[in-house]
Amino acid sequence: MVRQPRYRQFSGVFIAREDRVRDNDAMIRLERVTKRFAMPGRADVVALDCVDLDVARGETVCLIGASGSGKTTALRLVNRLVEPSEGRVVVDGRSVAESDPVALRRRIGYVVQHGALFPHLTVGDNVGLLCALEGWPAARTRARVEDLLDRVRLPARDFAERYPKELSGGQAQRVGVARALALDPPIVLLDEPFGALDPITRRDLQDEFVDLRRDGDRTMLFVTHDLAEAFALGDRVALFDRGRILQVGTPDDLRDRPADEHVATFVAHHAGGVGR
Amino acid sequence: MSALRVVAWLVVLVCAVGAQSFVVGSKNFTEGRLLGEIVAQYVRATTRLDVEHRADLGGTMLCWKALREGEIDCYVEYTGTAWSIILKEQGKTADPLRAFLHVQHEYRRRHDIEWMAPFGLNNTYVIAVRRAVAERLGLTRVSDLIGRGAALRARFTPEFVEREDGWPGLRAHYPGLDLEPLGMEHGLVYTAVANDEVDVFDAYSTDGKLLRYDVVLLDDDRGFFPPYQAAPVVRGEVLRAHPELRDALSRLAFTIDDRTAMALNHRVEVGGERFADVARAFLRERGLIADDGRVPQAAPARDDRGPLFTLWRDRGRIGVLALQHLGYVALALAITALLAIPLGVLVVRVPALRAALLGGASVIQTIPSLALLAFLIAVPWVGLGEQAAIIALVLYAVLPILRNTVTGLESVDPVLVDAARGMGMTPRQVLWRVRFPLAIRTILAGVRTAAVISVGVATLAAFIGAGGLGQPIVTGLYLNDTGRVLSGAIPAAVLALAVDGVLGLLTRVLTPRGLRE
Ligand SMILES: Nc1ncnc2c1ncn2[C@@H]1O[C@H](COP(=O)(O)OP(=O)(O)OP(=O)(O)O)[C@@H](O)[C@H]1O
Ligand SMILES: [Mg+2]
Repeated sequence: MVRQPRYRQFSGVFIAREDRVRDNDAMIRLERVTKRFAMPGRADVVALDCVDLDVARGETVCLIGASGSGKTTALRLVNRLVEPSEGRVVVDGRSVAESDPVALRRRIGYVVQHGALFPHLTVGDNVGLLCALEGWPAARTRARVEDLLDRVRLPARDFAERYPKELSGGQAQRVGVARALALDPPIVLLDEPFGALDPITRRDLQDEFVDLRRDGDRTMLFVTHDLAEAFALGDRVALFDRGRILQVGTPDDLRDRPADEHVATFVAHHAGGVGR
Repeated sequence: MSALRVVAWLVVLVCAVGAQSFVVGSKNFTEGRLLGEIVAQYVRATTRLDVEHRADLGGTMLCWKALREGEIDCYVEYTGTAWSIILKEQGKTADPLRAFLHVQHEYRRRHDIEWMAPFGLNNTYVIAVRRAVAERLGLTRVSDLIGRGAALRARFTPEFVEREDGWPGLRAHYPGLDLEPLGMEHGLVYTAVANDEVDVFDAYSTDGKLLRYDVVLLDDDRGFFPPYQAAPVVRGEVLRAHPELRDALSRLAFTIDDRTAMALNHRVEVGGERFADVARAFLRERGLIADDGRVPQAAPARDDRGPLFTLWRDRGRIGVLALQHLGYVALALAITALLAIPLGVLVVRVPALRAALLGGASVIQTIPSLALLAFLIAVPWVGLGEQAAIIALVLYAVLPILRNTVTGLESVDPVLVDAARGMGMTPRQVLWRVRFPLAIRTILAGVRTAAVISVGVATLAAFIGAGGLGQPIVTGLYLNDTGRVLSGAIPAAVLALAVDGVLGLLTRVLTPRGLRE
């Protein structure tokens, strides 16, 4: 299993909240964010309850937690698909509330579960869609698509002209990742990108993801249900529980220095697959 | 030399005048057409004018419009129709002479159009009673019906039941009249009479079919029914240019009384004779033209050799009508698509409009098409003819296209929309790059439904004089000629299938490859 040495150089930044607030190198920052969803005729759903989270430039943080604990909501706050009820979301030093959502999102790759490829477009067009919308010349787009497909190990020659329905689940996920990287965004959000895949395919994709992470200084938020995946891929892991973050720390922190009982239980309970 | 020149000019002038044409139009029902044919043949035989008969022009408004615009020079009108529909007189008159003189005066004053002397027939409403019943109850006059309602089964045409100069007026004019009429289509009434299922019904007083059934026509003893005297109306300008026309037409005055009209109508409607033959026979029998009079052109006649024969015989004309039909449908569909698809997009983006637009379109869909047409021709700037037909088609086609556009756009997988937004696509790009291509199949299915509906509705265009494949259907209905009805209905059905097939292919071609099965 590959260890990521990089988190260590940032880990010192995340020790105390006061420090974090002063830190100017945070790429993504949630500041006391609360998100309530109004439910007509019923009490509001509190999806996030006064959550703080900092992600340093170049860092990968995995969000893990039970279903409904608020991981997806946290992710979608970053690209403004969800607006906070209270608190503030800062990306690259700027409050997202003041950014143009389209411009913001073009700098943030977004990988949705199952890839969510556009069925009416070929694989190549899916991957190159944003390039085309940015007005790139066709040749440049094509070169970029080939490069990206190569990087997710889908030779453009075989795959560029296929339609999503002609792909396997794992291939579709790869295309989804490639599409998110089209404009070489400094930030990538991944929402259970490898969910619902068989363990072998999943392992392959995880390895590829590690390779992807090597190049560039990308900041990533990665939602997963799988603790082993979180430990393997995250510089740090944020453990969510009913709208709160119980602990943010390196895999070692969570394993060896759990913040409380709940964390310890969660890690012990899900540690079955975590081996080295 | 100069005298020669004058003579030459005169010759040219005379030839020009001699070659000038006189166009007779006629309304699209048996009697109107027959009287038009008689006028045409008689003028042709007795003047030097080149006479053309535009039979089956359409209803009153169409003939009137054509006459005023100089498209035709003459047609046969009824005083009652002129009184209420053209002149829109509010009051009533039961006096035929007064009505005629008034109408004649007003036409001359307002429109420079001349009423020639009437033919004699008065094609008004008449109340008919089965002879057995009439004799048993001693019925000869309308007032004899008073107090007899309980014993009589009355069936009136829906038109008669509604019209102020029909049943409501009649009942008010004859207090105590206690019939309880039910509405029944005229075509069915005669069958019902033959089967002893109806005792009292309304009819036109010159209806040829009255001769076939054993009925008594009740005398309108208190003078309620307005007079409907038939007479040629001619443009003043034409009469001044050709004074001989006045002489010719006045010789037709009072040559056709109700009974004669009934018999002539009967020969066409029941006997299946050609209009031209009946007209010629009439003119000869009356000694109005000599046996060596010019032979009038034969109009297409009724035929018992079946719809396929009619279809084949009239194939050229049917082809033209089919093209016209298709043209209406195509134009209406294009307009509707340009209208309804953006409206659908609007509904998706502004949900507040949803109820109003979709609801409105649904309501329009429920209006019977004939009612919609009637409403449209009453709108001043629409009027009769093509515009009204196109507008009606568009109104009917809106719902399927609008509804499918909305459904299609809204049923796009929300995960895809979310992905598109999350990638940084603008709302417009999400709409046109994601929602629209994914909805195109549903939208085209709506267009296809609309197209098939339109082919059907377009047959009604003929009712308002806009032609299309409804033309033979309408004529056939008037002439009670099933073959002719089918010669329009069969091509219309084939056209609907063809349009459906072509649009099916188009849908397949336009569906993005990744979405095809
Ligand atoms: N658009 C919404 N409207 C109402 N409630 C919502 C909405 N989105 C999320 N929620 C609620 O907010 C809570 C957190 O949801 P969220 O999707 O963030 O959970 P999650 O941790 O991603 O769960 P999962 O692992 O199942 O994906 C849940 O109770 C959910 O029902
Ligand atoms: Mg989720």
